[in-house]
Amino acid sequence: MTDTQTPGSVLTRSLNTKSFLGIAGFALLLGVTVWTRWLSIRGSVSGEAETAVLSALVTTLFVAVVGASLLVITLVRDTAGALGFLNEKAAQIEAGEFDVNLDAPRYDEVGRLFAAVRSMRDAIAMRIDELETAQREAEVAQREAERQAESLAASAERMSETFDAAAAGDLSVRADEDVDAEALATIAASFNDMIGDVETTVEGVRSFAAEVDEASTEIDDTARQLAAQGDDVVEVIDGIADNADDQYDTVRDASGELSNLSASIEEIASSSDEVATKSADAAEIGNAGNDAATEAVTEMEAIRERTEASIEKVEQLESEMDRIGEIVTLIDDIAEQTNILALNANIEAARAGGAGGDASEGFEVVANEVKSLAEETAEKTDEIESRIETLQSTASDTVSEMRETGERVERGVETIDDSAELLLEMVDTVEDANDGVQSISKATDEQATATEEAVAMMDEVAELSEASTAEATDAAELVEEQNSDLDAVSDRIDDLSRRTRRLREQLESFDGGGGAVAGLDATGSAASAADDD
Amino acid sequence: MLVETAVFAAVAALMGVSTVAFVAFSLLGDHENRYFLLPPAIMSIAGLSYAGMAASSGGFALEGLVLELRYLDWLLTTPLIVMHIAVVAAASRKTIAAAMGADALMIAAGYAATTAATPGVKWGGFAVSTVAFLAVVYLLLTTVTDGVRDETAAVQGTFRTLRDLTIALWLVYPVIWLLSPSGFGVITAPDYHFIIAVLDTTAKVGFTSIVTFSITRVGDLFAEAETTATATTA
Repeated sequence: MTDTQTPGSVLTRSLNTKSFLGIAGFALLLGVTVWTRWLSIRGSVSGEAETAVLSALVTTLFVAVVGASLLVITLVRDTAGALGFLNEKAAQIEAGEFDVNLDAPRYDEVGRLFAAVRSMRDAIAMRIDELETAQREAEVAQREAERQAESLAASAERMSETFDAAAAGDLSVRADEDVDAEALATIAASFNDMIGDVETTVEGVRSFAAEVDEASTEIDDTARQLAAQGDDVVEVIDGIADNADDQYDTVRDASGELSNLSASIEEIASSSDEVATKSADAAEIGNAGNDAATEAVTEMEAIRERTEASIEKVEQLESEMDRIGEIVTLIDDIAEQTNILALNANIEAARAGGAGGDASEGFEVVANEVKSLAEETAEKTDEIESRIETLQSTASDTVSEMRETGERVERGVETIDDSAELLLEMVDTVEDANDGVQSISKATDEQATATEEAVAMMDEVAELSEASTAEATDAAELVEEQNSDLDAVSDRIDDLSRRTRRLREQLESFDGGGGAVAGLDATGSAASAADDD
Repeated sequence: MLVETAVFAAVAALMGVSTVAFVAFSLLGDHENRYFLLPPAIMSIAGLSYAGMAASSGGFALEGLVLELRYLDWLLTTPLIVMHIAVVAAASRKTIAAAMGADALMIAAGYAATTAATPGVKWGGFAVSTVAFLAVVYLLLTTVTDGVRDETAAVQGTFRTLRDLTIALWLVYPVIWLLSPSGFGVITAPDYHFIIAVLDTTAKVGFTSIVTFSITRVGDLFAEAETTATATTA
């Protein structure tokens, strides 16, 4: 009959049952009371009184039972209704309907129960709100975490693609630093810094390789030019060395000529000495002749005949001696000129030592002049020699003639006196000649000394020429070594250029991107700055 | 007859006060449901009936019409009570009409039995009236109660209270009739009238009071039930 599924129904049924049982018990008790009262009254009354009494008792019984029933039902219904209502609301609250109306305008136990349930409902609603809020927050946090995880995965994926692209050589790529994950952002920033540095470095290396290639080509050209110029220098130096060799030969020849000149002069000197000796002898002979004349005084008459012949011989000798004097004078002039030439030769030699090729020619002229003069001197000397030989033979003839004419001298005392005077004059003259010859000898010695000095200087010049030749040869060798070094450098530069081109080809595999290429100069300067580091 | 007149007059006065109180409650409360007119209507009819019975028994007017006025009262009010119970339970019009018809038959048969000249008519009328009463009870306990299961617990509680009170009190009427002079004559006519007056007063005033208390004590709870009932019965 009633809903047995809810506790409220059970409560209601229980209350109804209790009410029914209570009313039934009350009615039974009242019925027994009325019945016993009726039995006790029944014997003492009768007729209409009996009927009235029974009716009154029954009426009282019914009214009492009805009143009791009404009272009980009213109370039970009131409580049960409120409890059933509260039960229904509790069920609604249990089902989640927290906005149910729990207001009850009563202040009895039921009203307090409603207030308590209301507070409990509010508390539960608040707790559920809190729980739902927390759950929503948890869901939001979870979604956020999932979103972040997805974002992280996507960011990591993009970053991986970026890394792959960078690994494949595309250095223009940049990782997205605007990611949620701080660690990834840090990685992206570090990667971008690194790839930026790598890009800058590669661009720098690329531009540097280009510069190296260009510089290598220039250096190669320069080296080849240097090598060619070196060859020219070698040729020039070889020419210098040849010239120095020629100069050396020329100087050596000149030195030989000078040596010959020196020897000739020495011979002249020795000849002059001999002349002097002969002059001295002649003087002695003159003196002896004077003595002989003196002796001949005694033999005047014997000598006198011969004296005339001797006079002629002596006159001839005198003329010869005059001739000798002229020659000697000429020799003296020649010697002076030779001396001057030697001096010039010295000067030219000194100039040749400082100036080189042209000086040697001047010196050669001087040397030739000296040579011709020396030859002329030699010829004159030979002539003197022959003259002296002639003089000697003449003198010998004269002696023999004198000896033949000794007797004639005796006879020619008068003539002897004159002869003696002439002899004395002759002695003076011979002595004068001797003095001249002595001066010649002395001058010739000085000339020889000067010539020897010139020879020594020529030797020094020759040594210098030899040294310059050696130095020129060394220089040529050095230039050749330099040329070979330049060839080696050129080879190395070629190798470097080849390797640089290969490096550039390798660098071409790195794609720096348009921006990076456009900023090549900037990156090149950055790269050079980095080279500095 | 003086006691009976006083009882009838007291009941009439009580009915009148109850009517005024219920009308005042209906006016003070914001209840626009037209079925709120049923309790004061029932109370007014009953009060007028008892006033008439008092006049009749007191010799003022309506001489000898106590029995007729009572059954006329019952013939009008008891179907309205049944109707009210069924409306609270949001029963169908067909069910309500059947219950009201059975109730009217019950009263009519009871009048026939009371005023019967022969024992055959009397017990036949009593039997018909009893069967009709059982039919009403059956309808209230089965069809109408089945319809109220979809309503809220508050509505169900109010419905059950009204239903149980009505059935319980109405069960007393045939018993009292059997004890009355119309039946076996155990109790006298004045006692019979007194008991009936008490039962009527209890049934009607109690019924109205329960409705009133249900509204005033848990009135706002009742609002949704009212709306549901209105929507269902409109």
